[in-house]
Amino acid sequence: MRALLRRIEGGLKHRQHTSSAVLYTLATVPMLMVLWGLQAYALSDAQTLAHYRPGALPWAQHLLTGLIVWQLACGVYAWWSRDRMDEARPWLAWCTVTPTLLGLLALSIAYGIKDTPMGMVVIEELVVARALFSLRVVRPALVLGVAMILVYEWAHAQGMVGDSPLLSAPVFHGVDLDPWWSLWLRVVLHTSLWPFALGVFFLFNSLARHRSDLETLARTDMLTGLANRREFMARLADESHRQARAGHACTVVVCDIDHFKRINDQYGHPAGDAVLAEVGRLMRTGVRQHLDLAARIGGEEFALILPETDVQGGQRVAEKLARTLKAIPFTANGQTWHVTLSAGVAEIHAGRGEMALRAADVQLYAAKAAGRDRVVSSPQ
Amino acid sequence: MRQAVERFLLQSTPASRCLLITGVTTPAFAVYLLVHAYGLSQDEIRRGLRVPVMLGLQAALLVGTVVLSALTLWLWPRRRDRQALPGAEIIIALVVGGIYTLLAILSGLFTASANLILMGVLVIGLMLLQRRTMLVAFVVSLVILMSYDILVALHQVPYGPAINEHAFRDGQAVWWWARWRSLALYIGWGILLVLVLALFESLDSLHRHLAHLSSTDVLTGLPNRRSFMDRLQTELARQKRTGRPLSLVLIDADHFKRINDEHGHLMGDEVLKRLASVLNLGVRTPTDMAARLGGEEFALLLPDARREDAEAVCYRIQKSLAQYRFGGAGGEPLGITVSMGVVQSRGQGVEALLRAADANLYQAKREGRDRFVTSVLEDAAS
Repeated sequence: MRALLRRIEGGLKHRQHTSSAVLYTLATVPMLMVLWGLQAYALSDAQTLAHYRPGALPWAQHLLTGLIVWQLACGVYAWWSRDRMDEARPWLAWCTVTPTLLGLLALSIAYGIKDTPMGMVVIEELVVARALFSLRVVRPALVLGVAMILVYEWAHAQGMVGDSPLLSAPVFHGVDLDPWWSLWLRVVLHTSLWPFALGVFFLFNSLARHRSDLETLARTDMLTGLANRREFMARLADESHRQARAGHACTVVVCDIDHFKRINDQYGHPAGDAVLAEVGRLMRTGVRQHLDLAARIGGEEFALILPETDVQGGQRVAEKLARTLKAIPFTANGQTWHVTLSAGVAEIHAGRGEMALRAADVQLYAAKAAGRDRVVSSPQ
Repeated sequence: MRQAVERFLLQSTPASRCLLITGVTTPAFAVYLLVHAYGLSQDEIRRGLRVPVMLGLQAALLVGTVVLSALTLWLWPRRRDRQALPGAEIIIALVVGGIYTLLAILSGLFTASANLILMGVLVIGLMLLQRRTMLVAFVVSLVILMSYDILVALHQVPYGPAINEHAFRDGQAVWWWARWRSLALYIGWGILLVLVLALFESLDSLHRHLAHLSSTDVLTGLPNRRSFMDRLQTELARQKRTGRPLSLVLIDADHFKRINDEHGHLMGDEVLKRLASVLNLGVRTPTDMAARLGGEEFALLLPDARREDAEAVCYRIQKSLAQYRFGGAGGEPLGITVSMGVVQSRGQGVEALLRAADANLYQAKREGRDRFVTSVLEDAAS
């Protein structure tokens, strides 16, 4: 079920007019057929037919039949030509959407626009149309629909048409509903209510998920999956405040992949990327969830924020990371090599995170100068 | 207008969102109370109403108005708190949802206006309140509606109990009932339409942001590595068919680590941004692409360009950069140079092209930096 929803969402995201036209057909034809079926039954039964104005129902049925055939034709054409199209053809979208929306609106006016849940059917199909197509495609139907309503209301005010032009009497006129309308109303209501409610919940779920995706994307380095520099600096400020307030230990580790340029030059960029991704993975899994932060702050530079940890603890974490990394064999072009890390560790004192970061940097340079592949901590 | 709504939704507190709802519905309920009271006071209208039912509705509306007003007073001092207020939300959802459910039942729950109003309440509720709260309120509403509907089907209670047959004459609704229904329907339709369209605009704009973020380098605004590689593949495939030349330039800022180390990361960022804008201005046409591959590495994709054209571009970039000065840590003006490796492709694959450009770049570095090395990739390499 979730996979189906994902696929629908994928289709919505790409908004190619052909596949949207197919989806729209699949979404609207069932509803149209339900209405058609109800009318077909009414046509076949004289007692039920009496609810309708004499001679009027066959026309309404022709309208529905025409709509169904047209909608299916558009859908079939869209499906058949889906490979041939290089670009979107808005006229196909317009042809698929507008007749059905206007036809349903006409039908709801005919049944009594205020009496029946047909209005909800129109809204539901409009929502589906807007979900699958852009506003530009839906706008003609909207404008023409409003015009249709205005014309109807004007004619109604002039006394030219009644409340329910198709029917011999309105669906409800103050006494109990009769059995036919009881059935008809319930069928139409339920077939339009449930998809709409589900669609609305789904839409809001989508919105929420996209918002959080957006937020994550803005804070994450894509290649390694770690936090990016902006997120790291923001978090550093937060943790510094915390440290100043609560007085517990908090440590910053800055590390750098040794000879990374050489790896890129010798084994190629994809190999370099693989190394970065692996380091990212190690850092992500090697720190405590919801507490520590691992980030990529530069091309081959990484950093850790370790709350509730002192310098010795930071040193241990960094050494463990370096050891694990060193043991991994990387291969490219049939060659194998190992990667080492240099790191500097410093503790945050009196809430001065930036100073700690600089101190860790200094220790990192010391580690590089002393021959790389080591972790150096700031003296207490 | 839409942006104002988005901003409100993003920055508003739970309390302020609740206040928006109570601020709108409390006056609405007051209006209903007055309109119904007026109707009940007019003989002609009262004849078409079932008075006990209407009095029950008035009582419910009164209780609802009082509860919402009390809630408004309670919420107002808390309007800037970021705390979630599940209790207040569920009360609001149930009271507002309940009153509108009642209105729907009383006017006939299959009528368009009733349904539209309920749908509108659902959509507004989902926009402003927690999804879980709305789910609960929605389920409660549905249960009440379905129960009443079953009773109607069993002929235990009348359909649309607020009005009787005197609201109709010759099969048409009399003027006040017609006006009420029209108002409810078209207002409901209008609000729902606006909301739904706004929501979809929101979704679309989020999609666009996502796509933009995942294809753009945040610091410089240039396309990122992934979109560059995609474009490279496309252009190479096109080149295979058209046979036109294509050039790739790999660019690396010289001594960039030194700038970062000696003058700080912020200065390094500024330099990169300036470099990016020079590259952007240096490409000739909209079909060319300048991208940041990562760190201090950039790339230029020049379709339909031969080696000589690419060299001209490189030369322009060098000249542009030669004039750029930034303030060093000690106040002294410093410049930035780049090394570039250029390759003209003759229809080879991505790997071969990148390797050749890399090799040229490496050679440029070795020969002393601040220069570009160009070559044409021979067919033998594919």
